Amino acid sequence: MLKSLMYKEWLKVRWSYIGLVLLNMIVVINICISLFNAFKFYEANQVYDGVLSWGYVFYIDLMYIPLATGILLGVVQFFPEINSSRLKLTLHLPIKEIKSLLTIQWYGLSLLMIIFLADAVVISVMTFAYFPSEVVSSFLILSLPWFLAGLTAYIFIALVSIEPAWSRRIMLAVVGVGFVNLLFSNIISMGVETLFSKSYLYFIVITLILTLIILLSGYNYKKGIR
Amino acid sequence: MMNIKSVKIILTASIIFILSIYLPDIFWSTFRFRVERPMVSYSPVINDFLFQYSGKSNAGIKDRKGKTYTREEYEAVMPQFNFAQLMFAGKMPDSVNGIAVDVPLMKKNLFQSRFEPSTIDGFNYMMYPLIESQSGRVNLEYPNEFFIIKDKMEIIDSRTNKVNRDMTEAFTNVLKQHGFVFPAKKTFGNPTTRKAFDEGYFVIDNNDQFFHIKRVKGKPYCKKIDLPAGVNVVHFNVHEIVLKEFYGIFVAENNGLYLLTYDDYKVIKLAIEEYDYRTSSIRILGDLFNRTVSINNENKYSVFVLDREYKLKDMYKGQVLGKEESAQGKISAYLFPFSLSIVSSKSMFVNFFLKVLDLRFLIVNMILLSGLIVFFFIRKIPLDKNIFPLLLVCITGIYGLISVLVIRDFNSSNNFKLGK
Repeated sequence: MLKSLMYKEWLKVRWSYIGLVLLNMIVVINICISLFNAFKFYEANQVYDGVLSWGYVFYIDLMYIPLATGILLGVVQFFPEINSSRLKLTLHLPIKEIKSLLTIQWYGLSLLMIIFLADAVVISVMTFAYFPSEVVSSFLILSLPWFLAGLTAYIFIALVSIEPAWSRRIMLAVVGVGFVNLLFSNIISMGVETLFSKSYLYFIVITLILTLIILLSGYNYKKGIR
Repeated sequence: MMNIKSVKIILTASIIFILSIYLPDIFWSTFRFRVERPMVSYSPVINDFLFQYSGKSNAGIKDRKGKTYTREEYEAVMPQFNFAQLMFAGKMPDSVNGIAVDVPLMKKNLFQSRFEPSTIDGFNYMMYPLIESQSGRVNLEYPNEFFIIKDKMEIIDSRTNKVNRDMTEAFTNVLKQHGFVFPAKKTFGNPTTRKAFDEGYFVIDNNDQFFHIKRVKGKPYCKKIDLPAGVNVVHFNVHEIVLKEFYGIFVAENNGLYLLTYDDYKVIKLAIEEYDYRTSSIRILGDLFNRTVSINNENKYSVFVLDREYKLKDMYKGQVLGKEESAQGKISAYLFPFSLSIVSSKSMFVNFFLKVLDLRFLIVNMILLSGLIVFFFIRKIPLDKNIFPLLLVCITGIYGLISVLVIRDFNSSNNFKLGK
């Protein structure tokens, strides 16, 4: 039953998902080409100087891409459910609601994580070709909150869609924007000012905890609490 | 069904978490408060402090007794900074208090050094260009080699992204001979060629020993610096300036401020007080006559004037209206039981900075609590079945009230969920 539920989700999102994969790949390839060109047109030590001493973040274009990916997948996956009240049918399947809701959510989260992992791996491999491993780990530390922002946005899009009462929808949207905004705290104006290297574990745990709230929204939806 | 109550608690906690970050933030950006701290400088002409206020209401320059100075008067008694303007206006003195002066001399002796908590609790790659300090060229040249001190002093060629084995071995061996314990904890230096000359880097090793490392004609130079007992370097500002009086200035774990003299590596302690490297910011201004150290704390500031022999000459301690004593600060102390922030001006790292001032917030919490009780009475919601929201408002005040009101999930007497 869970397998067919996942297959149903895949049928729903597949074209959009392929589109999102392409979007991510275009941005990542663009980052790779820019770095390749930097090394082609400047001396290697000039590029190193920029990256090590002057805060030249060559992968900055990636910043909002995971966020956009998370929002779009959330919209594609959950809006049709609500518009045609299809979720009602899902919740009446002979599986526990917890299981079906969490399956749908984690299916989407896994799809996102596959894209994000691909982004991170491609950029890391390319960075490692040009720079020592310290620069790779700093890329991972810097971009991790951006990826978490994508997951958080997805979680809250799902919540806002499923929640039946408008007042609570607005509240969830505000809280969601709040959480996502926190994850971009490392960007102040142009440069990278602060880093998550001491606190990223907390943010991973917070994101995991947030995935549970869908149970409450699902409960409200089923009971029709408005 | 998984315990829906516990999910509700998670949601409530998330709302309170978000509110305690953003509500104080919105409050402080609406009712902005700036600490009006004067800039204090010491005049070698009148041997006294002058205070420059930049606030909108009381802008102006005053001395200790309150006498005001015009800009021209100020410049005339501060020739050590304003020599260019004095020269331009034809008012440059030949001597100050019997010491003959000219512009190049004053320029050579002028320097500034700053320590901020956020740069001390900051991040760097620990990877720096290994600049050649005696290339035989008039200008410094940017090298192709970069180093990082891990289990050895690894030198990487940026052209190939490969380790330069010969140089790595040479530098690592010299460091080992001097008793360096790998890896390095912190590295300080100016990774640029836009400086008068190169003195390489100052490195704290894993045993808190302090080393001077540079590249001289392609060969390693290493010197272990003898620090006084109990002095552990926290942050070092390297100054490669033509004055060549010292390598730089450092802050130590014991909140002392020290100078490391040029060539003979002597450590001079500066007589300062009221400094905590985790919270205070410090500015050292050096000129031909004095060294002026200004230390800024939350609601006070102090200025110490040292002569060229680093003897304390004069000092001034002042108070300013701090953020917490301001009207806004008092209101926020009543309004917000606590405030959470994930960024801080004292650190370059994202973390959770929780701030609880005192218990003044309990007054507002009680008012909010009675408001909620009245609300319950009007809506005929039984109090005894809704202890949790009441308790929440009692402790978390405004945050709890907002979360209770937006979730709106109260138990009524006939166990029927009340909606809108």
